[in-house]
Amino acid sequence: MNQVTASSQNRYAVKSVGARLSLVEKAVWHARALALGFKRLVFPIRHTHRYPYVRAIPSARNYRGMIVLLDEKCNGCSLCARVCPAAALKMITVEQGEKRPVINYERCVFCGYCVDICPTEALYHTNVHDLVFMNRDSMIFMLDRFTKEPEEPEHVKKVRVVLDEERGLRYVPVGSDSE
Amino acid sequence: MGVIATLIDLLMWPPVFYLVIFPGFIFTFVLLIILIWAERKVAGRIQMRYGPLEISPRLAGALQLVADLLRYLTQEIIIPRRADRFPYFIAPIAAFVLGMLPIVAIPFSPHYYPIPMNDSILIAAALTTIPPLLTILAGWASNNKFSVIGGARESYLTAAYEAVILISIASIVLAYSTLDFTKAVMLQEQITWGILLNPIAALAMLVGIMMATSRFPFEIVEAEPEVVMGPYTEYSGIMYGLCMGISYVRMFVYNLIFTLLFLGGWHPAGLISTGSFVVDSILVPGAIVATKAIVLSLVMVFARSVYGRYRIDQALAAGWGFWFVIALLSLVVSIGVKAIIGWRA
Repeated sequence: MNQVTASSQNRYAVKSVGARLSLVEKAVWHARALALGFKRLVFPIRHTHRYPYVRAIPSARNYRGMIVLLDEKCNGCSLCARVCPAAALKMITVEQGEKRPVINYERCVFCGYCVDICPTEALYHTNVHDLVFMNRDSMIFMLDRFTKEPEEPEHVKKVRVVLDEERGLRYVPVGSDSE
Repeated sequence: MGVIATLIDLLMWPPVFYLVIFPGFIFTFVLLIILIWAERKVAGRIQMRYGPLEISPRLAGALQLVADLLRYLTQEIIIPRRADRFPYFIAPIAAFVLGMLPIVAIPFSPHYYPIPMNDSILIAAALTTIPPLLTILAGWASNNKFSVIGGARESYLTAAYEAVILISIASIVLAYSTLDFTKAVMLQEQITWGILLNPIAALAMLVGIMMATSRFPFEIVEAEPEVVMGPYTEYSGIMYGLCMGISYVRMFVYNLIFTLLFLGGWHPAGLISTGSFVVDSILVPGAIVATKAIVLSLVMVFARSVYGRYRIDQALAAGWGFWFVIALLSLVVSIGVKAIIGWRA
């Protein structure tokens, strides 16, 4: 048995079998646990994400949020509607026989296939993922809403959430340079 | 004399006032609400959360418990068809009331007590052992397997840890050579606090209190992932609220006993003298005793969020194999202390 295995076995034994510790060692471990708890009581670290009051903006550049159509780029090829696995995108006919996609967010799974397949790059993702709808009809975005970026409520503070080991969850305002 | 004046006279009669208002029912109830809120906030801070906050952010969620109480009061009380109705109904109520009963023997100052008695430590310690029986009764009457398992666990733990508590009390009583709380506190005022006289007995009693009242690191009786709510599984509405309160009330009463026996009771109160009887011998000593007991309760609440739950076999092994021995050792320490401070009482 080589050295590495023996040491890892020892560590496992110390961690798992409390009966092998002496009384003094047990008292020391108890004191350490209580001291850590007291430290947290005096200097608290919070990992709670206070979701409805602060809304985290995803920091990933290719985040797959809600989809927006650029009407002037679209040529109505209907590839997006064909590739859509959830059948959320449907083509409708606008004036002069042109076709345009519309989206039903009741069905959409945010897979992003439509954005990938679009030959003219007429579809793109936004960072917005969580909107509230009052009824099912309003989840169907016709062209008037599908071509605009979704509006978020005004009073919500938009931040980026950063996990800090020393201070818990930190909120960085969007647009600052620390990202 | 009208009815209202008679009622007020009855309420201000010292024994009734003692049991109903100041250290009795109303005080304990208000304390219960504050203590449960403090427990949730402390546990939240230590476990990297906020605790109750949403219902009143400016008061740090202090109204949460009032809201909970109102919810319990308006919920329906469901009695299972196969439950044994009379014991099912009476057990939590009796346990809550009997959990508070040891207060009849606990003085808050040398001149403020409901009933003058010479053996108050013995009576208080004896009365604290009644509520676990009613918990076991509640588990049996519910006719539910989780309740029966919870009741069995309660009986195991009560046997193990109340032995530790009672032996600790016996050893400190041996050091004081008196069974009267008032004389014990007066003795501590002369010599020093009991926790310095016999720290081993104090430690054993502290752990025994946490175990016997199923305080949180050791809520083996009511462990939610194992037995749904232990003996209280079938209760709902305000009956469930009472069941939740039982362990807090018992903890507070035990902490009062601990304060009087080990923390010097109303010790620094003798230094203050304003000349007024009410202030000197009721308000100041009462406030000191209550503050010490509340701080002790908060320490126990703090321990909840640091430790994990023990298994029943681990808890029983620790109880009989370690803390029982420690409690017996504290008897020896007390004899040594007695030899040092002299055998005259």
